[in-house]
Amino acid sequence: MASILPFTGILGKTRAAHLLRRTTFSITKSKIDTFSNYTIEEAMDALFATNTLTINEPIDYRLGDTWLLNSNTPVSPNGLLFSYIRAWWMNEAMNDNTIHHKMMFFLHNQFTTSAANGAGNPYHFFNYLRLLSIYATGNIKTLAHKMTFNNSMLIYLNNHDNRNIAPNENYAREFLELFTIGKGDQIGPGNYTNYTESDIVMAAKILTGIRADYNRNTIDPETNLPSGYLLFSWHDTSTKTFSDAFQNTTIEGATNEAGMLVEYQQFVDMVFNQEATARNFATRMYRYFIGRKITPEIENDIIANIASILIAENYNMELALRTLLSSQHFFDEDDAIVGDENIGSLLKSPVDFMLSAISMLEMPIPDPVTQAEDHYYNFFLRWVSYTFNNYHNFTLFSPEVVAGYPAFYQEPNYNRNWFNSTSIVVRYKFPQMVLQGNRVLLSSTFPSIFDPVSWVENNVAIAYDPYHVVDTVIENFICLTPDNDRRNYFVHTALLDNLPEMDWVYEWQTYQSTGEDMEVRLMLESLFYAVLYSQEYQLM
Amino acid sequence: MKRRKFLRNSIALSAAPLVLNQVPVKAMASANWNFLNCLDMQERVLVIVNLKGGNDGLNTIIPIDQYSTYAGYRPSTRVLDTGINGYIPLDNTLDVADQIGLHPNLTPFKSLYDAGKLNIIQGVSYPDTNLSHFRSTDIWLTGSDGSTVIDTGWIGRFLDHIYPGSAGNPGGKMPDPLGIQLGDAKPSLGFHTENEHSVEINLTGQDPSGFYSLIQGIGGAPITNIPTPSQYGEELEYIMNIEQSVNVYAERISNVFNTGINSSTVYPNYNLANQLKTVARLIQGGSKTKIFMVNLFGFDTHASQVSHTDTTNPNLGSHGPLMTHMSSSMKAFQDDIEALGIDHKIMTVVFSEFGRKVQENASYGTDHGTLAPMFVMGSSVEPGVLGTNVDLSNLASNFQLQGLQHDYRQVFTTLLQDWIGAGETALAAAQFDPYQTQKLNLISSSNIVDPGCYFDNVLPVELAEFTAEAIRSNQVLLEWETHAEINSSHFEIERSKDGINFETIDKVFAAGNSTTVLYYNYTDHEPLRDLSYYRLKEVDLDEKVQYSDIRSVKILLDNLGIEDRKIYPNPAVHNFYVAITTGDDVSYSLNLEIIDLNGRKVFEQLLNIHSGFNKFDIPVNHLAAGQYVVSLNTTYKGDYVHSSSPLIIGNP
Repeated sequence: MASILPFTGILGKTRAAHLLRRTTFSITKSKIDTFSNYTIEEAMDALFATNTLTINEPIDYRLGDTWLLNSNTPVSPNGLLFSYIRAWWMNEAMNDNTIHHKMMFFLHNQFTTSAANGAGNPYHFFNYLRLLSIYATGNIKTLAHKMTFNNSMLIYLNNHDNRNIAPNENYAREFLELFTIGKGDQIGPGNYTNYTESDIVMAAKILTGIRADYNRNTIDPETNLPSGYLLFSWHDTSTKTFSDAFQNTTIEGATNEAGMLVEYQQFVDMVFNQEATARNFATRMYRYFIGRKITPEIENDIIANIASILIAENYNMELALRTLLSSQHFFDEDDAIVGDENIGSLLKSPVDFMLSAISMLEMPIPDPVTQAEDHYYNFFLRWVSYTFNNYHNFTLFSPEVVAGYPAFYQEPNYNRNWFNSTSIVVRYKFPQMVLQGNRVLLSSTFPSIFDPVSWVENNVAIAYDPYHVVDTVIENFICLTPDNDRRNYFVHTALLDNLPEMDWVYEWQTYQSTGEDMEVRLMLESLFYAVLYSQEYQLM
Repeated sequence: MKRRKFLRNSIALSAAPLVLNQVPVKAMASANWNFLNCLDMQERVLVIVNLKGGNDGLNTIIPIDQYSTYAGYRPSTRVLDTGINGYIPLDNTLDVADQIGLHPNLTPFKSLYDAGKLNIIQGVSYPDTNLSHFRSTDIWLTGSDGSTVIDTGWIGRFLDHIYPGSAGNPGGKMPDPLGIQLGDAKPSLGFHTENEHSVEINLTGQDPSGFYSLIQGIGGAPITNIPTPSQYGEELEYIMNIEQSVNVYAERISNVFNTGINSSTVYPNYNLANQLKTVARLIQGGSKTKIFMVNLFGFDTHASQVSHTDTTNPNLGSHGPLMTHMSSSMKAFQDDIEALGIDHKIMTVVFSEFGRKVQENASYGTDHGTLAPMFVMGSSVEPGVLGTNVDLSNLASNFQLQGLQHDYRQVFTTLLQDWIGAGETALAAAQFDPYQTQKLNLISSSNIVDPGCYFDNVLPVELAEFTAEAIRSNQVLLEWETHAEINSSHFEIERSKDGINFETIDKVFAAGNSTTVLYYNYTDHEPLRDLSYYRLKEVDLDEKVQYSDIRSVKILLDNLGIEDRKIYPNPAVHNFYVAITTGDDVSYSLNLEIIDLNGRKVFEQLLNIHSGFNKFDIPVNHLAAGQYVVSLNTTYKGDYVHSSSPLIIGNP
């Protein structure tokens, strides 16, 4: 039986690392050490603490100043401005000790717009992210409500053009199919269990006349963010009747602009009153945080419980998330064999791979203020986006389709989609890039270099002991403790090159006394190559 | 089937032959039309073009007989009936009710049709069309319909069946990936098989030319003990599988690509054109990959399908440029493969997950709809239009087309059987066997695969496990198993000294028919000295043949009473040692030779061996650094025996 009951006791290193990998983009040895001494309540409190941004908005480094929240006119073209916002988000994600940015990425997959594919200008993109941020661990029903009025979304799914004389069904369809209740099995012509084709037609009519305000003059008083506006003359005022999937609900047509909001609120209430909506969110959370395989047992013991909590909390997410992430099931402690199901069972997404590598390797990336061009352009745009992410066919916040990234919707492989015959190239060239900083897959030098000697000095207590060095690295870089053969491979083949253990002791002590690090550096480079190349390192 | 009299054959015969590298292409092409054998058919390839997002079929081919109804539903987005932006009347020899106007940007399709190289299939979908992009795409790729769910892809099931065990394991019959996808880095569900491995390599975003140099040597040491049962272990295995298949195919793909050429055909600078250009070059370069899938995004035209400022100019909206992109890319591909003389091998088919609603929306676009046409292009196609125009006077609710004329599975079944040569069991593997009786007229009659050439019939013996082992200095034991046999006659044992020229040394009779595992063996009592290569030639009762993989056997020193033999250190710098430990009562001489990579003997010394431990110090300081082979050999009791080991000589 899968158990939703909380894990009790002190986390310890394996569980602490598992929790941090799944809930943050930022993971270091010292964080794992700290969390390993926490109880699950202490860990949850830390993850659900308020995240404070290090910088509120990116700068246009060509302008030398910010532009999004003041009246400055940027000088970079829009394509670059989008990339500055992505860089800013990634840098904030890497500095976030809480679950905040991980949830923003989850919600982006739930309510997808695609900045690179017609979802408005950089201002609209930035405001879309701010909206996700406000509700990151908050109320997903309110977020769904607000999302309909988000300018980026109104533009992306054409509700801006949804007009009574001939409604545009694009947003209505995806609101039901992807964003909220989700599609079920097709049980009849045009009947997808949870809704029907006719419900889409009705929903599209309700949404007529909700338009984007391109100039961002309409402000939503609750979020203080720019929002869309209502145009009553475009609104379909007929009575809307839904199928028995929605208990044949009828919603009376509005007779004035204010009535449009009433109508829309009734529609949102109707959708969120269905248990299937809560189940869909719970399922998506499960796949994002735990794993892709959902057995009937998991459906009954975990998903159903999380869905009930969402409903009881009126769609506030925090308690549901805390329960899921605290559960014995999350830590794979709920059956006879511990650690065989969930830990290490997800392929790292490119964001997870990159941001966790930079933080774990303690790589000095260019400073966003004093080295702005290197930070925004050379590092995040040229290197992370153009090189690393492109090999994954991945542009951050810009999936090719409205369902989001294939890793989050495409059965049966889900997250396995991140690792394929294209992305393998950049994932396996990564060690060379960070260890040598040379021209690998890129015409210029990599702007940040990993220093393995410093890493060992900073993180390994008994650095002259080759076993302790390897065990410390493994414990932090690899999800589960490997067997002795594998450990010996890392110690004897990778680190020692089959020399006796004493050689490392000698070399490390020589380095300590003379400062001459060539030998230990070569040996450690070999160890980190082996670890970063390892199949285990692809998993989280 | 409504069709005009196509002039293809007479054009091909009367036109001056194209010359490619001084080879008249016409002769090659016509020879293939008139003379088909199974080998030709086994070289055939299917290229699948996936239009992603749901192509607006009604604006792709316009029903001329119902133009005013059509225009009434689409006051803004309609294709005009006259003028420079008017539709292109396809074929005035068709019945009035079947008359089609092509989108004005489909000029390339018009010329393909006129040349007899295009078939248009009307009203395609499946029962209960699902209007979700993602579900409907899955349906097309898994071979299901609106009321059934299948987890694996029909392409993968089919390929896995006709090349069992070949995915990720290149061998004699299939040195290439079974499928290749371009244009979408997401692995297609179509290639997904039950074994949780995919049968395709994805080249999206890759330069095939440099694929190998980029890939070679990457990846860590394999894990020896994978935890099991464990999800973590399953993921590790998945990663290792991808690593392996990328590594084993990368060199081959780069070689094939670099060997291949395109003709001087000018491809337009479009994404789809680039994908197809790569496909043409891979096939020309000798790729045996069976199914290629290419992708074009952007067909989800909910808004601004035409421009609101000028609805009449098809190039201002989003759909018109896509029509140009698709048709000009495909025409260039067809021109290229004809100029290369490989057009007889290739058939191209176009699909989209669904069509669009008849009535436009107020955003100058169209919402998801049910039926859409498919296109099949190739030199061996049966040209024409299948089916009739959609009926705009009889719509389902919400302005949707109804009246399914062709199930997409009929199309793919026809292509798999009549073009690729899938017999009944192969179709059953694809789960398309119910459609075998509902095939369409898509392949010209002289090019339909002869049932005698179906894959199911050509490969009647499933060979597993073939091993060859020297059990004595003058005995080599060959062992093999078959997992199924149909109409098998015998196995011929073939042997070679160079792995290229084989001679038949004997014959073993086969069971004839079997559905269980059968074991065979054969002992060669006169093996060649040093290295021998063996292979099996399996012969059917109807005299078709297939060859096994090749196995090599070295006659080693182990019958000289040698218990332990070491050559060290390796790499050597100034000298190395040969240490040989033998059993009792041994006394003979071994000849030691050092051979360089050009096969030249650069050093020779006689080693006298006695019982017990023997150690010899061999100087190499006169030899240049590099790779060598150390050979030990002698003639012992009338047998020549030999062993060789690699040796690296390093810089001092």
